[in-house]
Amino acid sequence: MQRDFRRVSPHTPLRDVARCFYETGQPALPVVRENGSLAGIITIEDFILVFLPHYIDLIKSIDFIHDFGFLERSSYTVEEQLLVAEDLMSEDVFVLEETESVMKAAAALHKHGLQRIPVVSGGQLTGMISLTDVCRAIYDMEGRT
Amino acid sequence: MKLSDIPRAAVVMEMKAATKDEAITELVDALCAAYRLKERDAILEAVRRREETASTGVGMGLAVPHAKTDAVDRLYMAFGLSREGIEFDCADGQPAHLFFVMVSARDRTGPHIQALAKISRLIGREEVRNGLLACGTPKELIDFISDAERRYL
Repeated sequence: MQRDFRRVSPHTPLRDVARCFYETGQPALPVVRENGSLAGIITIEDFILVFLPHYIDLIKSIDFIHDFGFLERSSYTVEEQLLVAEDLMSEDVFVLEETESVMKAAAALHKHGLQRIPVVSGGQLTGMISLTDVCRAIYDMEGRT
Repeated sequence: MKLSDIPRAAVVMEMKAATKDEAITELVDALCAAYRLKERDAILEAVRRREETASTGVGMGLAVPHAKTDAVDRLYMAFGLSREGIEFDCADGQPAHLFFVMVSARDRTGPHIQALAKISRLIGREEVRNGLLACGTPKELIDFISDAERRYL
């Protein structure tokens, strides 16, 4: 489990959410309230929805689109003023308790098709676990190197 | 949901509110009346709570009070217009004239984000803002939004 990861608060502005994604390379950012409890999670897919045209999910192929027109702009002033982390996050988040086994984590990641799952203890976010962490735990890579 | 799917009954052409909280209440009341939503108090509370997180007064005369809440099962939108303008803690310090109020189900993040993005793309254009302010009736306004969606979205 990773304990050193970036998190944002519900009122983190869009631009700072973007910065967290590209500085850390994390595919998901936990949104944490002031009291340390988990409010939700923002995936990079949720974030990108802000900038994609709404019809993108309705068409089978994007091969015929040669120009996204004014969507390919350099300024997102309105979006930046309007959107904060709370707006982007999913609140229905699958979490694991810190006491759960490694195989439970592996099964949950696989079953839910997730890249990372928040880990909580006593209602507080304590870490994030990924399949890479599961792999490391199974083979105890850190102990052998 | 397209912005032009907003029913005419959910368009307030001359808002009476003088303050930010009155504006939110007036818009939520119009939304609940137009769609016959029963959980008015819960919706109002959710929109107020979101507003406490960060003001949705974007600037350029636009405010988009919105929230995700368990009180609704899908996305609902209404529109309000105030020619005099209402102080709404806008980013540029100017009063807001154009208001989109929006609520959606707590577990439907995608449509919520996409609707906010659509509003941002349209209202970011000065000609759209001016066009909305020039509309005189709900029909004119919805027709204008429909035309703007065809042009720009």
